[in-house]
Amino acid sequence: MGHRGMDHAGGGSRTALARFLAQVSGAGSVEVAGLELLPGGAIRENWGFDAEFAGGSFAGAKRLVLRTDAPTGIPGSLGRIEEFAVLKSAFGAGVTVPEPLWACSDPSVLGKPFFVMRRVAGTAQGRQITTDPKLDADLPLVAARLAQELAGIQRVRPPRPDLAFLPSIDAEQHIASFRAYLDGHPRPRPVLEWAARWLETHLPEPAAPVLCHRDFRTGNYLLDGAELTGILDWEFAGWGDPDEDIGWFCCKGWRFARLDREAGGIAPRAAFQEAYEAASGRTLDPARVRFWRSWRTSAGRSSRCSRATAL
Amino acid sequence: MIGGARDLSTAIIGRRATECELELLMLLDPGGGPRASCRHAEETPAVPTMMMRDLPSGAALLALGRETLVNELLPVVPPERHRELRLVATAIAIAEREAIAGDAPVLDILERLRQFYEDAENSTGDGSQPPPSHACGAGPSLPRKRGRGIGAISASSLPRLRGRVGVGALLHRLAADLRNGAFERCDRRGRAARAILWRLTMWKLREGNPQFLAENGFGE
Repeated sequence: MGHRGMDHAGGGSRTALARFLAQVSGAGSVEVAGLELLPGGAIRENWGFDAEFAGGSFAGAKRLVLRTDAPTGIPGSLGRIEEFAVLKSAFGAGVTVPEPLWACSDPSVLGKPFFVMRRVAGTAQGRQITTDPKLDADLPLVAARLAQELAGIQRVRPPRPDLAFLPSIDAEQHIASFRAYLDGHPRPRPVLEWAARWLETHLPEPAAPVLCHRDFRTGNYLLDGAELTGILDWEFAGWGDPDEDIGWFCCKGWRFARLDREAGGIAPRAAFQEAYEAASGRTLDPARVRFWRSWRTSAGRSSRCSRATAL
Repeated sequence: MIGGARDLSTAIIGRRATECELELLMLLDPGGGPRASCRHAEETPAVPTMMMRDLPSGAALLALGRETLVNELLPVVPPERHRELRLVATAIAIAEREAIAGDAPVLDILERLRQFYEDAENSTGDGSQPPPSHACGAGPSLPRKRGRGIGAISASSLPRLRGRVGVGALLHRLAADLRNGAFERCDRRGRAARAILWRLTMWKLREGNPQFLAENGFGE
C-alpha cells in the first residue's frame, strides 16, 4: 500500500483489506467502501472506511478506522502491533478509547503492519476545541473527565505479560537519552542544555511506574460536542512516572488558542487536579509537576520539533 | 526532516523548537526575561542592505509573493488545499523576516558571547570557570545531584577565546558550559548566561513566530 494508495478505487488494497476483515471476523464476505484519509497524520495514517460484514460475529454495517504508518516517522515510537496491544490494555482498563478490533503484522496484506479499530465521532482539533464558544462552559468538565481517564490509564501497571515490550524509562534515563540526542543535533541548543542541567539537579524521588500515554494532550482526544469519545495516538506509550503525562498535558504548547488555561488550554489546572486527585488517590506535588512539565517541554516538544529541522 | 521526508508541515514544525525554549525560560527563570519597557530599546537595528543589489530587495519580493499567494491564489484554490498554501505563506514570512533582520541577530549574539567569555577570561583566564567567590558572590548551593554524570563535551575541549571565533563555536561552548553547570556557583555569571539565552530565544522567535512572542506577553 503506497502513500494515499488506499483510496484508489478498485485498488488491490481495498480487496486485500476486505479479505482480511472477512477472515478475522468469520464473515462470508466484507464490502469496504468510503475510504478516506483522516486529517492529522504526519506520522501515522488513519483511514476511515465503512464496512458491511456479511455474517460472522461482526455482521452488519460498521464504521471503522485502519491505522498504519505514514512515510515519515519519529524514532522511539511503537510499531502498530505494539500500539494495538497498548490500546487493548487501555480499553480493557475501561479507558475511553476507540475499541481495538484486529491487528495484522503480515506485510503481504497491505504492505506494512496495521490495525483496525472502531470509528468514533468527534473532533481532535485543538484550536477548534479551545475557541468554540459553545464548548466553553463544558470544558472544565471535559478537563475533569480527562483527569479521571488519566487515573484509569495509570491503573495499568507492570508487570504485564501482554505489554512486556514496553520500555520503562525513569527521569535520569530520559535526561541521558536527551543529551545523546542533543549531541547529535546539527545546531547547539544552549537553552535545552541549560534546561537539561536544571532537570538533572532537580530530580524528583522515583515513583512506582505506571502506564504513560506520553502524548496525553489536547489534540489527541476526540470531543463529540462536549462528550469525550476517545483518547488517541498511543504510539509513544511506556512505563514511567505518573506525573509525566500531567506535565505534558499542561505544557503551554498544547494549549492552542488559550495559553491562560493551564490544563490543556481547556480549564484552569485546579479543575484537572481536583478530579485527578479524587480519581487516583494521589495528591499532586507542584514541584514534581513542574519537573515533568519542564522535562516534557524540553524533550517532548522541542526535540520533536528539532528533529524536523535538517532539510 | 523527520524520517527523511520533505514536507512543508514538518519543516515548519522544526521552527517551533524555540517556542518550547521560551516556555522553558519562562518556567525555570521566572522574571529573567526582558522587561516590557526595555524590549524595544534593546533591539539591534538590522544591518543595511548591500547597496550592490537591485531593488526591490529579497525581503520585498518575498512579501509580494506572500501577498499574491494569500490574497489572489488562496481564494481560487480548493478549500482542501488551503492549509498547504497557508504553510507556504508561513514559510515565506519566516524567510522574509530573516531577510529583513539580515546578520543583525547573529552579530548581536556573537558580541554578547564574546563579552561574556572575555569578561571571564580577564578575571580568571578561563571563561568557563567562575571568578573568585568574593568577586561575584557565592552561588546558590546545588541540590543533591543523582545524575549519571556530565555529558561528553567538556568546556576545556572547546576553543578558548584566543582570537576571533564564530558564533557557532561560542554557542557550542556556552551549551557545553551550561551542561556542566559551569556558572552555577556565581550568581552574576549565571544571570549573564541566562540573559544571553533569553536574547537568543527572542531573536529566533521574532523571525520564526512573532505571534507566539506576543501571545506570551513579549509583543513588539
